[in-house]
Amino acid sequence: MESKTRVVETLSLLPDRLSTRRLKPTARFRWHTSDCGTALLSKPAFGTVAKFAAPNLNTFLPGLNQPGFFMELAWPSTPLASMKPGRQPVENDSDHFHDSESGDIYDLFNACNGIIVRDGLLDVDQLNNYTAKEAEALNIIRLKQVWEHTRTGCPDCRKIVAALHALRRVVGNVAGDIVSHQDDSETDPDINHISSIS
Amino acid sequence: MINDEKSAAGDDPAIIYQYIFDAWIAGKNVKEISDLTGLNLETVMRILKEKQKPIVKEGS
Repeated sequence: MESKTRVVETLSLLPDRLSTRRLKPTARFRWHTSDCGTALLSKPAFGTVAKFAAPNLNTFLPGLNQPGFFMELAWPSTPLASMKPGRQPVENDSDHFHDSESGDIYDLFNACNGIIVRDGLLDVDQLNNYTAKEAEALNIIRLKQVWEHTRTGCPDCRKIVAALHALRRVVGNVAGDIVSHQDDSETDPDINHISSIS
Repeated sequence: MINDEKSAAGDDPAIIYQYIFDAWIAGKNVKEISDLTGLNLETVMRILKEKQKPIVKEGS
């Protein structure tokens, strides 16, 4: 039995026929001429050897009479799933609760006036203090969705609520302390302004 | 916000923004700030958030 090896490159569609992307595996075809009229196909990647008759394939083999062949596919090292267009990295699904024009944790904090009831959770009952018109203006429905997300224990929401709470408390306390320890004539006009509001 | 302040702030949005933020720091809720400034609730909420976000993000 004579043996000839030819290395060719071929393009192959992914198993997913909907995909428009193409793989470019290297295929090594080892042609064997033999008297039995069968072709051998070897796929080392799967550890299998299959036999099949290949009369039609023979027509593509110039100069060979009743050949057989081995085919070794060098499969790409990249997992196929990662090559599908729909598998691109996506943004965190909950990000819109933390920064959104249509209503986020900042809006919920302000609408609840920063009142925390337990476990760092905002007092959602504060949303009931608004009239129907105000509720529509504030998009209370959206704010309740934000609260439902927050109550799951989202660490980002917890961090923002804590930061806003601290900001309000610390700056307010600093303003109060300065006012109480200085004469009005020496007080920063901005601090006086804050104090006059409260 | 008294009338003199309103007329002065009318030419400078930064003053309105700062007034709203100061009022919030002082403990006022958004309805009270809306009453103080004459601005609607949506505007107060938007301005307040614009002032808060950079501070929170800078601190995180």
